[in-house]
Order: sequence, then C-alpha cells, then structure tokens
Amino acid sequence: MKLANMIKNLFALLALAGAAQAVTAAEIVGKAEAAPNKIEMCIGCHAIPGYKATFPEVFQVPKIGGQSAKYIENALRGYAKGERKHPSMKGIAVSLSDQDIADIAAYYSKQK
Amino acid sequence: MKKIVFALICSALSFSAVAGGNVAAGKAVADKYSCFACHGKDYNTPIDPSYPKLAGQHKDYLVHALTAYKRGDGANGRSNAIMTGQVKPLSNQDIQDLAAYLHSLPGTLVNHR
Repeated sequence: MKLANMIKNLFALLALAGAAQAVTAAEIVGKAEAAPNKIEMCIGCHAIPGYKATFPEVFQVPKIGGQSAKYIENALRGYAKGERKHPSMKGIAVSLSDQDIADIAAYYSKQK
Repeated sequence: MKKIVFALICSALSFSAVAGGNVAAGKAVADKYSCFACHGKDYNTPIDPSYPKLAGQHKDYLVHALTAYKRGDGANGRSNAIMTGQVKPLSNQDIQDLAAYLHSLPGTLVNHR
C-alpha cells in the first residue's frame, strides 16, 4: 500500500516537472506595456540626457532608446554573465528575470 | 613673445585633437576596418538586430565601450567574439577618432523615459 502511494506520488511529481519544463521552454515574448513597472532602475540614469556614470569610469551613459530589442537583451545578459564587466549594470541585470529583460528590451526598442 | 604665443596655440590645438578626436580621421579608421559591414553603411541600420546602432551615440560612451573590448576579460572589460578582434589593431587615438566620427553621424537613438 505504502509502495503504491509512493509510486503514485512519484508519477505526480514527474508530471509536475514536465509541466514546469513546458513553461520554461515556451518562447518569452517581450511586452512593452509591462515595462513601466520594471524600468525604475533604468530611468535614474538612462532617462537623463547627458547623465554621466561616475563609477568605475566617468562617461555619459549610452542612449538605449531605439536600439533593437535583441541587442538590449544581449547586453543585459552580458552584464549578468560577466561578459560585460560593469558593477552597477551587473547588479541590475542579475535582478531581472528573463521576462523582465524581454519586456524592458521591447520598451526601449520602441522609443523614438 | 610671439614664439610663446605660437607654442601655446600649437599645444592647445594638439590637446584638443587628442581630447576631442578627429572626425575625418575617424571615418578613415571606420572605413579601413569595415565597421559598416555589421553596423550598417549609415551606422544606424545594423545588418542584424544583435548589433547596436552607433550613429549619434555619446562619444565618451563609445570610447569606453571600445576600450573595454581592448581590456577583454580584465576589470571593466568586455568579451565579445567579434569585437575583441576588431579593436586589437586600434590605438587610443584611433578609438578617440572613431568615437568622434560615429558620434557626429545623424542617428535615431534617444535618451528619455
């Protein structure tokens, strides 16, 4: 009896795991309209014309409005993975989910 | 006195060339290394969405980015299969000139909310 229950549970677990995988495998579509709640961390620098980052080097933060979504996604992932080494951008990028990144990229790519 | 004034003017001119970058020299660098092959003839229409638009981008950011690719995997560096190779032959002056040229081009990039 106990064994039968265990097997049942095991199957339930496997089914759940399969469902979870199906969710992650589904393509993530960026929604620009979902971004306004997610760009608080961006606008402190990237919405101020001429704003200069001061650490670790002094330079005007790049214009990102109008870049393609794909480029913005890659850049954010690059900061998260350390392919682009920038302490503040890394801190921000690692806090974003894949859906956040897609939404933010869609938002900035549509800016004119 | 005249000599001193002349020397001062010369040093001021050469200083501004170093700090500002030279647009014409930058165009020559861009042509020589075929930057347009990926970033587009007008530097505003890259051939693939994974490549950035460069026209009108801030000059000091472009200098930072190009220098970061030179640093590679080190502190404040960037690793990228294509750009690491592209920046290798560039001198610091080339980078300043290139950034001045790309910044001078009309582009569609914006900075606002």
